[in-house]
Amino acid sequence: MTFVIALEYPCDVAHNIDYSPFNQRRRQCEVTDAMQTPITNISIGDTRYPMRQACVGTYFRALEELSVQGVSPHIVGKGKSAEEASNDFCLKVHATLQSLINKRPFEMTDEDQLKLDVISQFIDVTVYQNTTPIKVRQFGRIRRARPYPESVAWDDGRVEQVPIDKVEDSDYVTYRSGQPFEAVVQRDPITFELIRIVSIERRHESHRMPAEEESQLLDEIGSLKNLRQNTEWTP
Amino acid sequence: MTELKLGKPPVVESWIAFDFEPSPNKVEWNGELANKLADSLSDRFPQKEDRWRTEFSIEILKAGQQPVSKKTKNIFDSVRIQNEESTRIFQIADDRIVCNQLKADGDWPGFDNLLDESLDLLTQYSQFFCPSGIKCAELHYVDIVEIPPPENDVSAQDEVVELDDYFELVRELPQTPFGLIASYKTEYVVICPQDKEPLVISLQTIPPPPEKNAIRIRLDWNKKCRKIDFSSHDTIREGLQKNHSFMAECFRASFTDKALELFEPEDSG
Repeated sequence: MTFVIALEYPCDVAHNIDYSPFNQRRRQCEVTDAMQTPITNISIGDTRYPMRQACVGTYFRALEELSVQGVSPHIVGKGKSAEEASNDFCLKVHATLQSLINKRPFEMTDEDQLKLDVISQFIDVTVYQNTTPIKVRQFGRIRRARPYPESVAWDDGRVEQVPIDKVEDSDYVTYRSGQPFEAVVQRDPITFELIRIVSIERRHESHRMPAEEESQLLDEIGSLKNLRQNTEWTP
Repeated sequence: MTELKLGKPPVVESWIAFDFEPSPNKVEWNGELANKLADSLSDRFPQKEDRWRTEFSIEILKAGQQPVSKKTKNIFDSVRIQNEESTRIFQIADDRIVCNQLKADGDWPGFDNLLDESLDLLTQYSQFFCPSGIKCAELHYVDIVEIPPPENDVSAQDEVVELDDYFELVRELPQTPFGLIASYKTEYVVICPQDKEPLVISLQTIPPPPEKNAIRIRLDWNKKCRKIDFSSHDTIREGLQKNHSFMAECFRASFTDKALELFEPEDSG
């Protein structure tokens, strides 16, 4: 095959043909290709992942596969239509990320780390972690209710303002001062500020046994010292 | 030239597109007429999708200031309609139509089928939009070639696939100092001897599914056809068939006999 030198690309003046590959109408080709499947956002239920950039997948109808450059073959969408395969791809990304996101670095295998690196190319995992509220189970009691609850004391001693509109359970308004409760609380992952209380239930006052009874119970449990004296086991 | 018949052709998508000279009475493109045309074809193409794009205008107000997005404009791009099985797709854009054929289970319907459908849709489009003429036609093929791993499983990890055993198009890099090729992407623009129009051939590796230890190569063939006689369906058909034959010839010349065996050539005699 004879190459045409770049500076001497033949140019058909009558039809204004430019043979340079850079000037061919590439965008038109991409738009026209029915296999191109853009993925502009990944949302599953309430979870919405911040995308660094939109991905473009290629859906092969014959293979029933959606392949995304840079992500596949680690994650491949399957389905009988481009939409079905795209949904499957998003679901796989969601499942993979959720299984990895709470692992500490030392818990990850090389394969886990590779998958996380691949996903991090198009999803900003740090932003996701920093903007996704954390859910914690907390115990506390109403500190002030005049006439409606507005301040609570958590069992770690901290006091916090909890207005009615931050609690999803309408029964909260009936709580009186001193009422103990257990709540599922959404908090900011960075500042730990209260965002809202997802659920709240009344609890009985926690009971502490008398000192004598507590001491007796501890004696019954025993200690390592007793265990060594009583055991006949030798290594 | 004898036509090469393949039992398992690698083609997964092909399309024919037409670009038009607009009618002198053309009104601003807003998709209204395109949607009417799409609705009139809803018995054959029941699935419809309006496609939009957004254009931003970025302006710098004063030197040293951050650029700001001043205007955002949503532009109607095209209507895409498809049949129930998503194997036939018809796209209507501004002075452009595209007829796509996607491979599903079973046999590939072939170029003649695509040509018939494209000309039929060209008639429908012409009745709705009354363009002054056709500026250009375009033929495009997408092939996926799957090269199996070496058969000797015992030392499979040490075996390498030589791409030039399969492709005449590919030039291998010397192993020293480059090492092994992990992925590949290249593009040629060749000039068709008959009409001096460009044929763009691009070849790139694409990822195989995780369960397959194979190499997958995607080949795109794009041929612009500006010089065919667009005066009647017969001349368009003839012109496109000639271009298709040229592409088929190039296709045949791009593969080695070893690669062609993968596509199960049938005895044409």
